[in-house]
Amino acid sequence: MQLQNAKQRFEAQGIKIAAISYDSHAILKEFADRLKIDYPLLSDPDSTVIQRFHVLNQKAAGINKGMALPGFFYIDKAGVICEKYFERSYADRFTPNNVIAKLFPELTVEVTQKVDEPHLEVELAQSDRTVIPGNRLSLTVDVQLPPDIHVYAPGVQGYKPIQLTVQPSPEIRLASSSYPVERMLYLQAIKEQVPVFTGKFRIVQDIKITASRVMTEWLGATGKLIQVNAELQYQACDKTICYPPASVPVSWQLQVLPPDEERSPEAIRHR
Amino acid sequence: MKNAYIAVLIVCATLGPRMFGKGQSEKTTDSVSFGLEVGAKAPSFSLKDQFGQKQSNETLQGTNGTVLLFVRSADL
Repeated sequence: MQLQNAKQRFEAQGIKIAAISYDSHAILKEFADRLKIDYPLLSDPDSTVIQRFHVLNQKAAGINKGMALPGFFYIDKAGVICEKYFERSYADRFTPNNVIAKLFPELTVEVTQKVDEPHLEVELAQSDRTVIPGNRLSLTVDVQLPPDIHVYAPGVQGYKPIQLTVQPSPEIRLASSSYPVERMLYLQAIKEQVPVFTGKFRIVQDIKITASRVMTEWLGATGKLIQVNAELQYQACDKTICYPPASVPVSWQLQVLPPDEERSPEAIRHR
Repeated sequence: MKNAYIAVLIVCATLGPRMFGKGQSEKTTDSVSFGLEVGAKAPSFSLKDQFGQKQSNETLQGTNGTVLLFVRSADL
């Protein structure tokens, strides 16, 4: 369903989409009719293609035997796999919008908040506003520094590096974070090279929405609005002055919907 | 093998989507070991969709490529 909503965004980039599962043609037809899905849902009932892509869930047994591990491949026009987005846990998966955000960072996302601080401007965005349990989405912080200002990159010695720290909460878990490649700056005063960021750069933090029975109960029938809070810590300096380490509170809001648990009619289910 | 991998990455990078994000470096990775590796040729396939149409690598070829989603089941 989320892919149906993101379909036009992929197509606008010249990318065709399709989903593959071990479901029968009958299951897929009923599902597509019920949810009005018009991108191709491909039936791989003997899991041949699933095995060719090495994504067969080896642990699945009984009626689940033959199931794929959920995730995305991006295949370029030459037929080469250029990216893949898979999670270790079968309950977790990247949102289609997060895949778009990773393939095309310049169209990531919806800007949700702007913060002006003395030495930097921060723009917050997110790959998705509406999510379901198990979704992996990205939260982004775009930082713009004035021309003569730098902040320190992770790994610096003796200065406070810029760091985004998300407050833990039971509704979310942290996935990978990504910082830009640092630039080495020679500081005359200490006669040393230090790793810094300058100009405009982006920090990306992926998070996963907790999938559990407790979470499903808490979400109820209509879902909940949650707020993800974080601190952006940094130390800004120019050629002559280093300002005291600072911290900016930032937050993103997410509408979490309950998981869709409607099943196919009894007659066509997996046996 | 390593050289082949790098060569393919360059091919991917010249095609568009990968170009933009590559100033970023993952500081913490949570890559997974399953699934064909990045750089591998995608296997060929031909499967029937919900409308009864055959879909293959060729029919799903967009001007900028294809995103294939593997899902567990439409009937959880």
